Amino acid sequence: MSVAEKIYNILSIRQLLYVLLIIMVLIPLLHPFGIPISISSRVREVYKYIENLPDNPKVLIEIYYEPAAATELEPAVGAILRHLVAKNPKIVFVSLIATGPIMFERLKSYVPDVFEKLKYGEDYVYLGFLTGGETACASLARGIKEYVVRDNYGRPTADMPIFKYANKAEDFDLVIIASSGTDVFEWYVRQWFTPYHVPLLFVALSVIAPSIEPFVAAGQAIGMIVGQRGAAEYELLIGKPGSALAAMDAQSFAHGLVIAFIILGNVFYWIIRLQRKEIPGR
Amino acid sequence: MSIKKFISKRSVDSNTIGGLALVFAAGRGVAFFLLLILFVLGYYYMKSAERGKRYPIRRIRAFEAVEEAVGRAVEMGRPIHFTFGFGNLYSSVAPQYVAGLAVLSYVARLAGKYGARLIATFGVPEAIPIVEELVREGYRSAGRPELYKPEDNVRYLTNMQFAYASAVQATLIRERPGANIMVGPFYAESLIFAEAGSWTGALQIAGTARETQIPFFVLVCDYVFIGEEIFAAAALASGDPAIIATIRSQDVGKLIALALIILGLILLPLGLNLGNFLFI
Amino acid sequence: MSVVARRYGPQAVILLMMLFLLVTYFFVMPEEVMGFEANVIKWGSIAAGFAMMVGAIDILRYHIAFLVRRTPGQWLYSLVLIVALLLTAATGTIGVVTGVGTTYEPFAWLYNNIYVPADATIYSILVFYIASASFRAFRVRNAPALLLLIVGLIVMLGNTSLGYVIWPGFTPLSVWLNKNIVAAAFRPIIIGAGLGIIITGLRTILGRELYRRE
Repeated sequence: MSVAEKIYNILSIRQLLYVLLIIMVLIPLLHPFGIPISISSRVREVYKYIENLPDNPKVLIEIYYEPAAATELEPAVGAILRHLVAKNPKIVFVSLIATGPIMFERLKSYVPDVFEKLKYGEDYVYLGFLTGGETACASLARGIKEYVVRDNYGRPTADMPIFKYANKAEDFDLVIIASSGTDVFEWYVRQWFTPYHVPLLFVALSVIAPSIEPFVAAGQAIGMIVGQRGAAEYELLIGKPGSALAAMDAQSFAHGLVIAFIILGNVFYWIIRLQRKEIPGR
Repeated sequence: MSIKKFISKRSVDSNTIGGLALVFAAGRGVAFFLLLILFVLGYYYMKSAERGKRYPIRRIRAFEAVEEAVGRAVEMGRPIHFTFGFGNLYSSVAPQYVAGLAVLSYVARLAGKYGARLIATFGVPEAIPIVEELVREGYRSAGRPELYKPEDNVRYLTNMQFAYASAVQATLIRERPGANIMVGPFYAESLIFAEAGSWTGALQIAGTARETQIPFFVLVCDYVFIGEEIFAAAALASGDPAIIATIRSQDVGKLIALALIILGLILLPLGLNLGNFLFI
Repeated sequence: MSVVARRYGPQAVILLMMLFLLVTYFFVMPEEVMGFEANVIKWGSIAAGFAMMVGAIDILRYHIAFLVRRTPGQWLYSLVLIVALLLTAATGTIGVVTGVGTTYEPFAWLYNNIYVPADATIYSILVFYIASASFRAFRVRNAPALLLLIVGLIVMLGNTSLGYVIWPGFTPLSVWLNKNIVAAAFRPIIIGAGLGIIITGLRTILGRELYRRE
């Protein structure tokens, strides 16, 4: 067995790759290097849009993710909330997924500084989990307090001051959808944007981005923030570093390791192939 | 100019189009007529096929590989694993579950024919009786009802995503199937299944219409149904010419979509946005 | 029950419900009809809730069998599952009955300290799997594979700060690729899948589902 074959076989040991990945993720988490990141045009557009919102904007935020996706989506939602809170917004939080209420409580503990500045019932409200998917989405657009008589905590919505300003779809300046799936984006496009032309902002996982890109390209959404990288860029823009920015070094190191293995794998694959004139095993 | 004013300026005033707004919900008028066209076409092709006309569809290599996979598993003395996803049947991906169930029915018939052990795992609680019936019927129709063991062949796991993923992964590692067939709506767990299946040396056939997961299946599996091919596979699995004929209406739908795209491209330089007319 | 009721009864219900939902989706309807439609959708959620109960009973039945038989290598895991299932169900039920819902302390503790870390752990396994799958799959055997590798490297580097350090152009190039190439490639798949869904709906309306039921 040649040297190249030995190295190729060692590289093919998946456990080696896994151990190295763990090390490469742990090191920058324990000792951040502060590698600079650039800010994409995509995130800049979103930042500019929110910056140009009028004072006291009325915003609906859809919390549609599970714990597994929270690491990517929570930092983005948190950064947007920190940006929005400077404008004294009126925010209606809602979830069309069963894990929403728990994710909302986590969000509150992730950005406590935001919620300290807002008064419940006047500046923000959380409607809880609403069943019915797209139908619930459509009903919300027609009138929130008529559709949801009690919020997540059992309090009646009829007398809440916030709904004097933000009740029907036409009242809202922006709808932000933070989701780990693609369906809910389509619901809001069909039920909020198409009939009422309410601007939509997508906050999505990086793997989902290509399938919601057509909506942004068609002008059905004002933009999107994608994955932990998008959240990190937004944190940089608002000048408030958070967990997304802290994870960028680890992401870079992990990507770097995978790229190195891919390149080395190809190099030794071709050396062996040229030496032996046959294809090496897996 | 605010974004709202900008968008409303771009939109066509639906009240000017013959009062369509009085009848149709906002933005759905044209969509209704497109849907009607597809329904009428689908019905027409189905009835034509029932009268004897045939509408062949192209070879789908992944579908042909299903029987090969079952045979391979039998030769190796290993079971066949089939999974079609988690969730619930009233979600928007329900048609993909239907497609997965149709392919399961076909795999169950093949398992009966070859005397193979089939393990069907899934995370859709409403589908429990359907899966039991399909697998039982598959063995019975092949004359091997004694091979059906519900506690072994039909395993409802959970409808929570990563608990389901973890359970399927464990099933693959423990049972070491000779064939791993995954057809349905998959999310992030797709790569977990595909990779775990590849470790066991199973022949892997996968299919999903969830476009974000297709690349993962293509990366790891031996054969893949890409997007709408799962619906074509489900039609082929039924063996019913009338059902296969409805695939033709999907193709006509694609031609309509293509025509609209070309028309939109032609109108754009003339300052007309076809999208505004489509959302009346 | 007669064959007619067994076969045609459910089909009639499916047909009526599907036509009702289609009509209420496309046409302007009075508020009362829309209210009924919202209730119909809720019935689906309620039915799904009962189905989940059936699923839970099925799981219990399956794992109690392992426990009773003391199946080697399995019975302990089945015991853990049964205890976890019953504990979660009990605390969740108490939360609902007492009106505090998911904020009931024991339920919230179980969820936040056991379920959430376990969920995140399994999701994190993807990082290892994608690494090993990429190592195997990104093998340059021909020209398209070389193109795939180059594009894959650009997108990976564009997504990280490491790429910015090597060359700042990776990020805008990666965004351009996603916006123009990847989105364009995904559009026909989305269109095709949508058409497949429509035709599956037609077959369901006509009672020509792809699997036979008696």
